[in-house]
Amino acid sequence: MMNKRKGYTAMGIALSFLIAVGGWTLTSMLIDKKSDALLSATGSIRIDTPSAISPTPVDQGDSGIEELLRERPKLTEDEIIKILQNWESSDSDRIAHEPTGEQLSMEQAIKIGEAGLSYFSEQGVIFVEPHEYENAKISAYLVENQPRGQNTLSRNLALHPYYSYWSVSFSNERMNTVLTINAVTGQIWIADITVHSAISNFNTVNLEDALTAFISHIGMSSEKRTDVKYDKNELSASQSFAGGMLHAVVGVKARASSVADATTAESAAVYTGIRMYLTTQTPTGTD
Amino acid sequence: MRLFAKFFLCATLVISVALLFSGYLLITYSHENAMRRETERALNQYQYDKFTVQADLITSAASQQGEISAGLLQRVSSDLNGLTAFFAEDKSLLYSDLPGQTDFSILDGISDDTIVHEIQTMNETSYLMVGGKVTQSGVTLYLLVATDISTVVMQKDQMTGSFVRVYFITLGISMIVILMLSALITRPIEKIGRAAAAIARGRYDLRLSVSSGDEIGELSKNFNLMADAVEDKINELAANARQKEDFVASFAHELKTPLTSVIGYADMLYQKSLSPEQVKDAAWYILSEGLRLEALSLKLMDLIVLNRQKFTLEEMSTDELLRNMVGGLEPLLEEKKVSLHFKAYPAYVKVEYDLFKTLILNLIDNAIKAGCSKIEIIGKLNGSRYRISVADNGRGMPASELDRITEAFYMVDKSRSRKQHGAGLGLALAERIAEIHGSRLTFESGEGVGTVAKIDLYRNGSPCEPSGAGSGGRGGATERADFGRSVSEGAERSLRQRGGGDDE
Repeated sequence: MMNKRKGYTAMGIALSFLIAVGGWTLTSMLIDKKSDALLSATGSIRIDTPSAISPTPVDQGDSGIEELLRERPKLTEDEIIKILQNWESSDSDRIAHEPTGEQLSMEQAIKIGEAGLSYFSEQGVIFVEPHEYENAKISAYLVENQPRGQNTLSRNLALHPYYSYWSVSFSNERMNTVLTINAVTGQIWIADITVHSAISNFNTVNLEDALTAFISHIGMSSEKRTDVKYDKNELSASQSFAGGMLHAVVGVKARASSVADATTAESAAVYTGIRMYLTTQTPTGTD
Repeated sequence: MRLFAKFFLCATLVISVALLFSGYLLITYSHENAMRRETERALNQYQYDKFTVQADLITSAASQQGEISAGLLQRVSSDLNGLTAFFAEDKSLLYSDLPGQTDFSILDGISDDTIVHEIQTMNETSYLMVGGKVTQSGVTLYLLVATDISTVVMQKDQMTGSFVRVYFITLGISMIVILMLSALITRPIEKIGRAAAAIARGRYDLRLSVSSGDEIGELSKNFNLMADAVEDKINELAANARQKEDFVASFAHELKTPLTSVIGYADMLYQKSLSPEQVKDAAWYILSEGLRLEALSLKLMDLIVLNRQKFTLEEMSTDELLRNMVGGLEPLLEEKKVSLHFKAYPAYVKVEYDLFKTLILNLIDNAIKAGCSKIEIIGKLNGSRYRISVADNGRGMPASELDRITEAFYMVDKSRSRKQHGAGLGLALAERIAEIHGSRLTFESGEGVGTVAKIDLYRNGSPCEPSGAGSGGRGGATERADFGRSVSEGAERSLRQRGGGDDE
């Protein structure tokens, strides 16, 4: 009886160890099986491709662009504020997506960008001749700022098409320009231009004229804007709209590198630029 | 199987299942999430790459003419982040920097409005492939972008490796703790088991030390209580057995002594020619011993009756009770030259009259046998009870004898007791009657100073739970009263027949 009980006890302890090791072996097999299933998974996603919609034809000339922009829907200041708040939100994921029917195509966005740069050049806001863009490398991305944690596998838009923007950049050895264009209205809401040249000194730009040209390009109502305000260094000027909820800002960009240690010609070079943008955040240092 | 092994097995099973289940869920959930994030990232990256390709096609002069060269595609590819492959509209390969083993059948699932993704593992490296159709500036291409997701697989492997270490360490520690805990729990139980076995072998004095207030402590305490009860019961049974043996031996002896005399005198009468005087003497001896045998049998009968019957106590005035009891004893007391005094504090007590009379008569009988000249019966209040004491100035007895005088057949001085036709049953009878009244007889005595016997009775209004009292049992109230009366009459007759003598 005693030996039998000892035998059962030994069997019980052995069974415990068997459960511990066998359990792990089984779990490991299940994990590997699940992993294999995940690694052999395939999927397909149906999207609206540009070929599925009919983008508005773009003429090669400026008149075609002007016509295109005239036909685009217009946004109220409140709508612009909401969209800008989404763009400025840090708690979001940038999701690239195909343009929908209401949104501009890539070609249209690039043409609008080029036309905008020509306009600003004509207005004396930027010191880049149109031909300088001809050899520039162009890239364009259509992006939506989706709230973080959104399921992005479906590639569907989480928000209204107005919230998307085209980020069009032109860059060559002389300059780097990034334009942020509302994907539906085609308005350039942010223009960031940096010129790699000592010749173009943006400190000589008349900020008020530049601001007027930028606001005019967007087509904002002039009656509701405030007076032009400058920051204390007079490197930026701004005007507010919608009771101070929306601001148009133009500012020359500070030098990107120091000239204090001017031992070589390269280190003495200055990189200047200008940034024009709409924002919901009150510009700092304005009086 | 030992209890600790059962604990060990169950705990290992529960802990293993819990750990493994949670580990499985954690690892697979984490892996799934990582794969999902990688897929989202790869799809996003594909879209960026597609935009880059489109922009390059827009700005490329060659594409304006619908021509795509490998150089152009190589330049485009250098602008992209991951590994890429380009295919013509007929899905023929134009350019690829993907590994040679890549399976391009993924292209079959691509359509104008569908992009596809799948995972391929090549050279122990896993790639997440995303493919779609690019149509721009009159050119149609198939773009395949591969993102290296080996880190995700590696992370899963690392997580699994970490988990197996955590699992076995946790389980190992748990096993040690379980072993210690189960030993801690089962040791006292084993101790109780061993103690139970020892008690079963006859070690009734064995007790457990109670060192905790938990269930085990409670079990040990209850075990000790049980052992106490068992030991008490065993002792009681042993005492009873011994008492019965003593009773039988005493009874046989008490029976033999008068029978020897009766047989001896009868034989003498039968065999010898005796003078009338001698015949009378022999007959008197035979009569005397016969009376003693009769008294013995009556008292034995009384004891048996008392042990078997239930009695109902009734309220009586103490004065009336004592006056009635001693009322018929004057001639006897005068003959024995014994003065009897009684003084009772007026109260009502609960008694079975006939039985109680028997008790008092037995005490008076004993006092007379002790050669007293004065008996004093006093009744007084004693707390919630009423105490009646019977005191005599007889020869008394040593204090060491007091514990045994209520045992059946016990006689302090056997020869004198027998001479007085005593059988050693009077006080045993009195003690049993006291028990029926919910009391005990207590004695105080000293040699040459007399004896005091006391009994405490229930008073009117006091809780009354006398031993053997109450309703029930064989026969009705009348029958019980008859038994009581019979016992009382027996005692009276015994008192009248005897005269003088020792305490029993």
